[in-house]
Formats: sequence, structure tokens, C-alpha cells
Amino acid sequence: MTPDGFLKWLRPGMHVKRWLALLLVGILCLSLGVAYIMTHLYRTQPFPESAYWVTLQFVDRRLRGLLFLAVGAVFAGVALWRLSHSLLAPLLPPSGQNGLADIVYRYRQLGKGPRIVAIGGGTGLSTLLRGIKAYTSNITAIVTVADDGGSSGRLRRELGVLPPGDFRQCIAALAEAEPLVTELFQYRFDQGEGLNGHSFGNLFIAAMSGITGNFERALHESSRVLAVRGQILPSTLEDVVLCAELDDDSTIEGESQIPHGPAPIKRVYLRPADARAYPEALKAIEEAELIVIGPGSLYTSIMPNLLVEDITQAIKAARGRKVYVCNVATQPGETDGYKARDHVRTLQEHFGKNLFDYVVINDRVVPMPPEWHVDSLGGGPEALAGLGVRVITADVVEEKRPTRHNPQKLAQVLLSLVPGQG
Amino acid sequence: MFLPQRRTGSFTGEQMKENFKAVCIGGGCGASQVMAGLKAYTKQITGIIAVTDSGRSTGKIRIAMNVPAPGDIRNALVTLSDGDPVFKQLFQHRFSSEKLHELDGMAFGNLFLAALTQMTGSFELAVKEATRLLQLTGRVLPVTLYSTHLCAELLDGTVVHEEFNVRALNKPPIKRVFLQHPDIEAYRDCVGALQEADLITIGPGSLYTTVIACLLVKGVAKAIVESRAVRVYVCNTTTQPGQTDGLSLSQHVGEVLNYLGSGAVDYALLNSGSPSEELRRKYAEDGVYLLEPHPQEVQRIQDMGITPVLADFVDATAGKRTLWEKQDSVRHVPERVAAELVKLIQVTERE
Repeated sequence: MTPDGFLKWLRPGMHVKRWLALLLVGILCLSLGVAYIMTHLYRTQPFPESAYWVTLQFVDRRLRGLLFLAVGAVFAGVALWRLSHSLLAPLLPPSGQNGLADIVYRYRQLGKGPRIVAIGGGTGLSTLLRGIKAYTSNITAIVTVADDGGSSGRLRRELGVLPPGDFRQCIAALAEAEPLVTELFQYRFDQGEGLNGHSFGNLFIAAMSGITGNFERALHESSRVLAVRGQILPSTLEDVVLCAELDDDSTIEGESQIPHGPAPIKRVYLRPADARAYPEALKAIEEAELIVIGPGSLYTSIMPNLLVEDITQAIKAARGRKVYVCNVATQPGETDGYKARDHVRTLQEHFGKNLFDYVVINDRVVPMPPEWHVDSLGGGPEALAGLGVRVITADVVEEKRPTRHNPQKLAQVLLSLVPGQG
Repeated sequence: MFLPQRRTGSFTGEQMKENFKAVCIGGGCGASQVMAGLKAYTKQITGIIAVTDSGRSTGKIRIAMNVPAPGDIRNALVTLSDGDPVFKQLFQHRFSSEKLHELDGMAFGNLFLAALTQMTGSFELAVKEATRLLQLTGRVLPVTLYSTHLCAELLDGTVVHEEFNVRALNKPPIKRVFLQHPDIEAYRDCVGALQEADLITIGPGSLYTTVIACLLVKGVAKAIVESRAVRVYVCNTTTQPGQTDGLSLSQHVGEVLNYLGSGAVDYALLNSGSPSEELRRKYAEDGVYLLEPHPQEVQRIQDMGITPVLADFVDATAGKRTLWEKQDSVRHVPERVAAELVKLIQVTERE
């Protein structure tokens, strides 16, 4: 071990110095105890000739003391080091280039990170999570269970489980398991009649539901098995359906159908309307230092969570700082023609003005290819004037994919909003 | 009883732990049982597993994704796994869905292996990854990495293809079996394992569709014949409808030798125990008959140059299982089989 490597163990917060100190005190006491006993024996029993040589009686006492101290320290130090490596080697992930010291350090630092709750769904949320996991491991993601499209929806119908899709994406974003397993989790079957289109991760969670008997435990076990840093919770365990009332007074049922309606959305609601919130989710909101709403599809990812009344109440009552991360682009079928302003207003119309105090929008409009049929959303503080919110404008867009946020940039902005950190 | 000129090592109890290399050839249920028993004696266990299965969930996934049969490998992996029990349960979990035929009855572990194979392009890598994730003691090897099928020529001249059909009921007896692609090579780690083994066990398991299916792969039989290990055939406890109706104990052994060559097996473990009368009747209803080591059977086996070892291997109290689309047989008790095997390699006298 290099001297530099050794020093890493002495950094603050490792919880190592304190136990080392205790160990030293322990050894000291042991030595004193042995010394007293030896002295007593020495005075009352005859010692064999060899004892004279073994205990170096021929050497000057001070030198003798120093010698034994040095040898003892070396033995104890080496033993400690090798012992911890022997015990921990089987547990270290093989892919780590990091030394043990770095791993422990990171673990400790992240464990002291701010408590952040992120509410949303789908790709937007997992993007956010990827960014903030570098700063804290006290992350709680609250996701929607109203999904009924794609592999999730099919599994919901075919196997009778709660839609795992959003969970899978969040698990993949937060998992510390090795790259191959994480990749496998995202793998989508492209062959086979019934398997085609299913993502392996969804099937994993569905299977877990099967063996644990309920979705809640399935999530818990899946997270454990994949070494997820943080927790991922459903907003409710009830089987809810998202419905929309359109401008032409027609209604659409089903989250996957809503973007394909004939008219713009007037308002959304859940069926049943009085779904009970998942208690752990409420607790996390209560204890959070920062509550982030979004990013994600306004109507089909973010709203389904907020429509669970207790969740919204909990957010309003919480002491943490509340932020809405506005999308960086509109979404066809949901928010065509909307400006950032319209996103905020929609949320305020559904839930009142005191849901969040801050809004993060991209600081500029970015050129979009016309064939995407989306508008970039961005601007300065004036974009949200008169809405009673504090606007944070920053460069948060992902250059290579301008309809998405950049995880690192977004995380930095949000971390600066944590009370006591900015 | 003569002692063959094999490596009958003088292992003492202490030396033996972690010392001897066992290779168990067979399939998901049979070889797994032997491996489970041997776990108490050694860590160096290698399972060589058949991959020509085409029935049930394995069959579905082979059709869907054209991979070698993962089913038996999955069972073997779970048996040897020392990892998280949740993971083991997960692997064995079967989906049940009335609406989705393809997923119904599908074992999750099969999906795992298939997905990993598809994703990495290598069945070998998939099995290695699964081995790591399940924290195996020992290892599980597919007998070959190629996807092929087992075929059989029946006594009346007809030829059937695919394992599912080879073991189908109510057809003429099997004359011989062969692989659809007879030139496929054995997985090279298998050959290596066989060459270095101290103990090689063959079976128990479906005679044609599991045991001989492995022996047919090029390189396997040769490695067994040339090996210096103690080679033991663990005989089935009962006949199996569709494959071994009417075959006697010595005929089972004879068939194995047919595909291996004479002198290739040193010992045969024969079950002398029997379940209760009532249980025997229940099995008989399904056409499953106990294979009993009558004196003339034992003599015939000895005449083949094999030393018979008789012991009570069965669990007399265990009831019949309902397997999904497969018939049940009387199971060996892993501990008893392992105890007998270990005695065989402990014999200290050499010729």
C-alpha cells in the first residue's frame, strides 16, 4: 500500500480513525495487563534461562521498550490491513478500479448527502437520478403505476402485475450492480412471438412479484439484489387507471391512449379518484430536504403521482424545498403548442399554487429538427412572470439529444437548491 | 469382486475434502442430485449437462430464440448455487398466464440464460455469468455449445426428431438414438474436466434423452474411456414410459456401454431399496416400474466387466411429484448416493 493510499484511510468521515483509536487503547491496556502479570510472575516464579534471551534482557531497558513497541505496531498494522482485505475481498465488485479506501469514502460521503425525493416517471426521472446519484445516496424516487403501454402494459394485462416499466428504468439508473447485469436489465427481446418487445427487467420484476407474493416486496428484493443506492417507491399500490377529459368533452382512458386523442387535453384524473398513497412514499416526502417534481411527461408521468391526493397534500405540508423541473421540449399528443408557462399553469390549475416554489427551465431555446414536431422550451425569468414562482434558468439540456435533460447539468442545478448548499 | 486397474486413490477422510475432482454427466434432475450429494465431500464438482431438451418451457424458448436447451442447465445451476436464496427461487419461478401462451409455464431462469445468450451472443458467457451471479460451488458446463436435436430410430424403422418426440409415449421401442448434427464437438472445458477427473458419474436420468444424449457428443465418450478416473454409472430406479418400457436393469447398463464401448465403466450403482406397495402401484398406473436387482441381472452386469454396487438409495416415504408435463420417477437420496460414490474412490488397495 502506498503512503498516499494509507492516508486516504485517515480522511474525515470514514469512521475509521475512531475505531483505530479504540484499537490502540485496547492494545495498550492489553500490554499493561500483560506487563503487570509478567512482573508479578517474575517476582514470584523462577523463569527458565531462555526467557532471558527471548525478552532481550541483555538490551538496555529503554531500547528494549522501543523495540517491542515498534515490532508490535508493525505486526498489528499488517494484520489489520490483511484481515480487512481477507474479509472484504469476496464482497468487492470485480469491476472496481477503486481501492477499498475509495469505496468506503464514497459510501460514507454519499450516505451524508441530502435527502432528495424525485417524483415522476419514465425516462425523465431516470435521467435525473443518474445525475444526482453522484452526490447523495439518500434518494427516493416515487413513480407512477398507471402505465399501461408497451411491455409494462402487456405484463400488467397478461400476468396481472403492477406495471414495472418505470421502476425498471429507475432501478437501472440507481443500480450499483455490474455493467453486465444492468445491461441485461435493459435488454429487450426482439425475437419470439410472445416475448418480443418485453424488456428483461420487466420480466424480472414480474417474476419477483410472483415469488414474493406482492409488488412491494418484489421491488424491495429487486432493488436489494441489484444493489440499488436509494429507494424506489410506487405512489400507490392500487391498480389505477389514468383518464383524460378532452377539450371536445370526450374522455380517454389509459395512459398509453391519452397522447393519441382527437383533441387537446383539458384535465386528467385517476380512477379510482381516492386511491390511497403508499405510506413509505409519504414518509419520504415528509423527511425530504428537496422535493423535485419532474422531469417527465406532464400528463402521463408526473400527474398520475400528484393525482393521488395524499401525495400532493404531503408535498404541500413538507418542510423541504419544492422544485418543478420543466421539460425542455414539448411532447406530441400531450403538450403540443405549450410554452413553459403553460406547463406551470396546468399544474397550478390541477393542484393549486402552493405545490412548488421554484421552477427550473432551460436558459435558451434550442433549434429542433422540424420532423420531430416538437418545440424547444426555454427562456429567461420573464417566461414565468406573474405565476408566483421563483425561476431558475440554467443550461440543462443534453446537447446531443435536445429533447432531454443532461443528467450532470441538471443535478448541479438541483444540488445548489438544497437548503444549506447553494 | 475384482478391483479394476483404475485410479482407486488412497484418499483419507481429511485429504479428501476439496481434493477429489468429480464430474457428473447427465441432466437437470439426475446429475443435479448426485452433485448435491457430493457437495458435502468436495468443492471441485463439474456438471456436464445435456442441451438437447426440447420440451416444456425449454422447448418454447428454443423455438423462440434458437438457443441450446437452458432447462437442465438451469436446474443444475440452482442445485449447486450457494448464493442468495431469493435468486435461486427467482430462477425456478414459472410464470403463469392464461393470456400469453408463450410465457405460460416459462421458467424465469430460462429467460435469463436465453436473454444473456442473445445479448452477448454466447451461450458459454451466459452460463458463466449465471454461475457467478448464483455463486456456484463447482461449475456447470453444457455438453456442447451447439444447438442441435436428438433423434431416434425406432424398432419399426420410423425415425423421430427432437427430444420431445424421442420420449413420447405409445410408440415402438427405440432401436438407437443419434444427434441431428452428429459432428458437433463437445465443449472443450468438458473434455478437459473429464480428462482431469478422479470420479466420473453417469446418470441417473432418462437413458436416451439425457444420459446417452451427452455421450453422443463427439469427444465425450473418448474422454471417458481414456480417463484414469473411477467411472460409475448410477442406474435409474425405474423404467421410463416412452423410453425404457420393458428394459431390464442389465439392459440399461448394456445400452450405456453400447454408446461408450466396453470397459468404459467400472462400477454400476444399483438401487436395492423399494418404496411402499401402495406407491409402487401408483407408479405402475403410469407405466413406471421399479428396476430390481435380481441375481441374474446382477450376474449379467458383472459379466459385462462392471462391478455392481447394491444399496438402498431411495426415499421410501416421499410421495409422487406432479411434474409439469413430465412423468415422475422414484428419486435417489443424494446423501446416500454420494456416500457410496465416496466409498468407491476410497478403496485403498491397488492392483
